[in-house]
Amino acid sequence: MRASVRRLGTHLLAVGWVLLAWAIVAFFAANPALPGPVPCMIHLVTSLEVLWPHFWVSLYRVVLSLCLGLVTAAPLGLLLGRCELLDRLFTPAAYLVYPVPKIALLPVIFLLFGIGDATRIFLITIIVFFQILVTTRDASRAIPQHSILSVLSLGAGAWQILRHVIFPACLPKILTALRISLGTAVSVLFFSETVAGTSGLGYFILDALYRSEYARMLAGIVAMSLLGLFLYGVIDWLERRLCSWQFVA
Amino acid sequence: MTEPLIELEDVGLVYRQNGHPLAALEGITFAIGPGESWAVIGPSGCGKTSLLFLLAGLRRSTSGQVRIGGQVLAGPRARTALILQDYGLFPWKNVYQNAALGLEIRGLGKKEQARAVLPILEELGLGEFLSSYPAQLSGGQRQRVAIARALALRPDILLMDEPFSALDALTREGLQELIRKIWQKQRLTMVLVTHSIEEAVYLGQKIVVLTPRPGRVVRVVENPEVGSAGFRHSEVFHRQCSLLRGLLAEAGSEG
Repeated sequence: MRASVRRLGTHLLAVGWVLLAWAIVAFFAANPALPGPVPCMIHLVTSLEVLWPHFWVSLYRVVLSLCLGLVTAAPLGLLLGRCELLDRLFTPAAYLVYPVPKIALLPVIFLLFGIGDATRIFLITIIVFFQILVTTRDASRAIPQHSILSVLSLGAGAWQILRHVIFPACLPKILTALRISLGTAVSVLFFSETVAGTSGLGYFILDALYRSEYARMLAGIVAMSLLGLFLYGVIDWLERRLCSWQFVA
Repeated sequence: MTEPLIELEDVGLVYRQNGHPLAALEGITFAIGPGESWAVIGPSGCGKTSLLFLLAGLRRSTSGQVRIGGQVLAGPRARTALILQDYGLFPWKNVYQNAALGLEIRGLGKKEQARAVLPILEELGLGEFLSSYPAQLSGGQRQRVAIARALALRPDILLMDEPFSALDALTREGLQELIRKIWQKQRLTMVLVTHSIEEAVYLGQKIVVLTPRPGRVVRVVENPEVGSAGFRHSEVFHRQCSLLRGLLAEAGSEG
């Protein structure tokens, strides 16, 4: 209890630093395009009714994309890390496609999937897919052979090796990959929502910019940052639940 | 005369390293009777661990035969337990889960697992640490968990790969004593791979001395006093240590 209160305290302090830095920069910039945190927070609260549906749409898009990326990339990464033949067949292809800026493919994806959620979710999914795939594959490859021998000597088959060794050994790295992917996913989400859309925080922010309503625009940016913060919190919570062994003294 | 439980007949093992064959073991022949305790000693890289993996069924010999109970060994065997150098514990499983892992893999129900594992953990002094993770234990406690996992399988053969090498002297001696008691009480057939001369002499009724790679048997030293009272401080113990030291030096210069 005391630890969680202390954690909350340090989190609030971190938020305080960001707000203070923002206030100082806004003060010295003295530009209507960069209002300070107070008018933005007021706007955030007063326009909550308008902002809320956009927040939900963005949250839904980013969560669904991360889940799709996770359930496709993580099992494939585990497999590639343990099967040399498959690794030789697939990993060079992954390396070939990974650096391609997928955002540049947005017009093509629009043509294939139409103007809607599917396009945005697909775009974010393929971007986070490779981040999760490469990290999981490396984690799976790094499992020491003696860990596998240890369960083999107990009579384990392929499924039991996966369940008792490979998956739990890679889980912390998978969650790290998810954390890194989350930052990318939110950035790509913003971009995808600014193109041919009428919903989501990306649209809300750009719409405010076009109207020169800067406090409203920054309120949208804060909402996007809160969305990221909430999801990071969820991943941290998952890590504490699923990898509790990492947090023992 | 009792039939041997473990037989190695002209066993050889050749690895492929960077596409080239590399002989790890050559012409290994010996037979271990049930309830005997053997130690294997030799210089680093002489194939001691490979030999143990052959006995565990984790590797197949490239020549000769390994037989257990008269049957050619084709893979891991249900009543053979292996303790690895780094204990083989998983950091994500607590003490109880690590100790019960072998039984879980073999499909035993939760209640049966608990019935088998809890008394062993209690006996090994780990009753208070059931929900602790390996990172929260000392080296000696981790080794005890590995022993508990092995004993939970009700093995007739216990294989150990340098099990005490990472421990301080006092803990090491305490655990050697524990293993000796378990061996005598449960009449296990035991094979211990070690680079410690004292450990080999303290635990091995017969001690196989190997040459540097490829490992070949220099000699099997008889050491019948194992388990007798005060053995560690006896003259025989020190004489046997000197004998092994000489044999290892000789084997090293041959290699």
